[in-house]
Amino acid sequence: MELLANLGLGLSVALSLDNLLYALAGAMLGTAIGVLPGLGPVATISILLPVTFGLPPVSALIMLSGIYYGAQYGGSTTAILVNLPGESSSVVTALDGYAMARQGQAGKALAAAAIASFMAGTIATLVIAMFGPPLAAVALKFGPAEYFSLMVLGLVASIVLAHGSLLHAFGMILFGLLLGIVGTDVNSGAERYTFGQPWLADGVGFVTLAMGLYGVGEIVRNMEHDDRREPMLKKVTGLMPTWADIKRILAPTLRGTALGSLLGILPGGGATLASFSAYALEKKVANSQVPFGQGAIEGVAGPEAANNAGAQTSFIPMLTLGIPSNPVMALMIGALIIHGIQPGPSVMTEQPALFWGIIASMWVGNLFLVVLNLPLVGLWVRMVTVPYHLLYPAILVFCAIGVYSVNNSVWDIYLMAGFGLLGYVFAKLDCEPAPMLLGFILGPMMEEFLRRALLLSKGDPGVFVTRPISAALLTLAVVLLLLVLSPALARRRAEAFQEEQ
Amino acid sequence: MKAWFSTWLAALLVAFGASAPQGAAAADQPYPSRVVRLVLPFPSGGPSDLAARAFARSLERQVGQPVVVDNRPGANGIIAARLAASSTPDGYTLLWATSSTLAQLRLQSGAAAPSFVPVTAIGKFAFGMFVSPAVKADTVADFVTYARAHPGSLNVATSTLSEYKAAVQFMKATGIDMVRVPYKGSSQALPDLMQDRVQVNFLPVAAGLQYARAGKLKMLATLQGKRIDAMPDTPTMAETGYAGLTPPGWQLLLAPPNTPRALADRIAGLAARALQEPELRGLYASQLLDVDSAGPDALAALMKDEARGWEQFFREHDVKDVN
Repeated sequence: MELLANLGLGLSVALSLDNLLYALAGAMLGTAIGVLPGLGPVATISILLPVTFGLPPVSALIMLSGIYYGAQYGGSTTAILVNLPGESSSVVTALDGYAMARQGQAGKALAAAAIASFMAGTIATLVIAMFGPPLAAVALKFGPAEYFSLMVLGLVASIVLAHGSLLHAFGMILFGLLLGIVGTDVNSGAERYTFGQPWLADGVGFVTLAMGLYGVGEIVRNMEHDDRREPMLKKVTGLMPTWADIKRILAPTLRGTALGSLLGILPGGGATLASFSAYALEKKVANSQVPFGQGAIEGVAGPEAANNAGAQTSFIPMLTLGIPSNPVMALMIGALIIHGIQPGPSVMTEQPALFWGIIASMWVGNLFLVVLNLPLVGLWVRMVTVPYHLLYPAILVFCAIGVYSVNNSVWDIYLMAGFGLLGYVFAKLDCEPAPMLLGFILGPMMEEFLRRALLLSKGDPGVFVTRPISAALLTLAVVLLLLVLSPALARRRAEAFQEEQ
Repeated sequence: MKAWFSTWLAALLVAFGASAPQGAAAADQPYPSRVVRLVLPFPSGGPSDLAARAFARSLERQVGQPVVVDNRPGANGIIAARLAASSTPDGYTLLWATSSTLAQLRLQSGAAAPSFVPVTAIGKFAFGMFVSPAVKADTVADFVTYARAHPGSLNVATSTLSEYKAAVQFMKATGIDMVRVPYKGSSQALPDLMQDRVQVNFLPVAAGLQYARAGKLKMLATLQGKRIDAMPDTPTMAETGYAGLTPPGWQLLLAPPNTPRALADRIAGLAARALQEPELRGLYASQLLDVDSAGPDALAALMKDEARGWEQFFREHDVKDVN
């Protein structure tokens, strides 16, 4: 009953007229800016952070959370419509979402994403309200050894992401791992593959890489057909999902929500894995009518649910421990400190209205997103009917602005152009960028956690198998690897590959 | 509404390089007659970013012009420092630097490091010694005894050059040996410290204080010269009998090389007034940032001192490059 009283307190805060307006404003701003390619939640929040300084703390946080979900949702919109994932979590949404869009089902994909996100958001809000503090304790149990094993599992799962040749997938993962090495080594401070350039000292940015490979690369590829100045699609079918579609996405949404809620609480990379692992899971268990990678609605709903649930549970370490699980949470901590509140163990007891108000507003924000976005689906879909000669320059300009806004660095724009050419080469060679991006994200974290775990164990590699959570994760990775490499599966992959031809 | 709108318009102008008319006409006008850019070597959200943003707001009120924070994170501050060093020395581009930024510059460029013109010190974040709650020690003396009994088995977390320096100086002063475990930031180090995967971390008190109050960490000493008001029962490191630890944590305001002295003095005066604002003082007090608005001369002496300290540290410990 205490839970009900707490949620009641939260709702009374979140449903006040002011806070409703801030949640709405946040969701709208977030969606609007998130839809622009390259401008993800981090860039959006850091730009808008000072705007919230004048607001009361709860309202500021409610608005920032709205921007966070909104930008994330907007990011999925560009991933689906124009194959432009603005952040790591929408890379997998692009796989089947863009395939659906090419078949004229962009509206269906967008609506599926919105509905899955809302369902995940509702469940995750309840999860946080009921299990927030105990889950935070679980998150603390994850040390370097556990994180390393989790990353190994994620890397193995990334092979499942590819639907072409296994060799290409391996090659792309390795290339991603190598790209991730660029930058300054945390342990020794030595610079690796930076060629003495200060703009490479912190490595290659995710946004730079993704915008180059996907955005610029895709445009260069389409330029080949210089006589085709027509829009991608003339006819848009299936604006809204049918009842049968909704039934099909129900199970993937619930599975994605469970995975996302669990991985989201892990600070430092957990949430990144959520959408990838949800996709890998769906590919294994979902009984889809359409092969994955060719427009399976399950491949949109599962990862989108995981991504949204993870985004929400990533508030747990921030609100209960004061530990930011991603750069957006770090910005929120900054916003609270400006208002004289130090996020941490004491927030829940000393600021119950703030704590429960934010939790209740998560649900309110998600509701706004659905209400805002479902009617907008028709509008977004018209974006793909814009002729190339108008759409492409606009995408290029927004990619450049987005990439620039991350570090205020012009070099990143040149780098993006370089990756654009690389993306074209990859497309010609039939190499998918998604496994490479996962290798790129996981590689540096894996290395960091491996070396830290070994430093802490004084060089004994036994920690990875003697610690129960780590051992369980590694076992899972081995099983998955065996499944992938087993001849029967390899045959099935070959068949799938031939179908595509 | 209007205030932030104009600030953001100004920010856009700065971001896209469309600065207001410069040259002869501007030279006649009193400083500042247009937007002042404050280059910051950190991403938004961290403690130094907060301190700088709050300062920028106060300075804005003093100068009557927008002061725009320009976050240029990366390469441990080198990117921001190089940008500021190559800007026109007209007072419209300033650099917010920390002890670690200057140390990193020295480490990378040695004597060739750009000689920024000191404007004013802002203050200093209080540092403290935090240990895991599982460590059987409630005082620094207990900790040293404990560490001597377990040689080489304790870990010390470090996330910045300043934390590294404090850890090395502590080991030298006490003669104990610990394994240094590098982290990218205290948000990564704190969970490991709370779970006793690492045993000690010298970090800004503001980052660890709430955990010490909640019993999730133990704060054994402060590195400041005097006890801090927030933890009046925690002794200073000097009181515990170990000398030779220089408290890090300086936040400084610098101007590009060759900025005229008169201009530096003018900005220092405006900054000193901004630092008097009660609202700013209140935020800095809550962040345990001790305000010390040493002007150009005092700051020059301070920077020389700091430089000597770092050089000695790099030499003695053969530091080539860390973090």
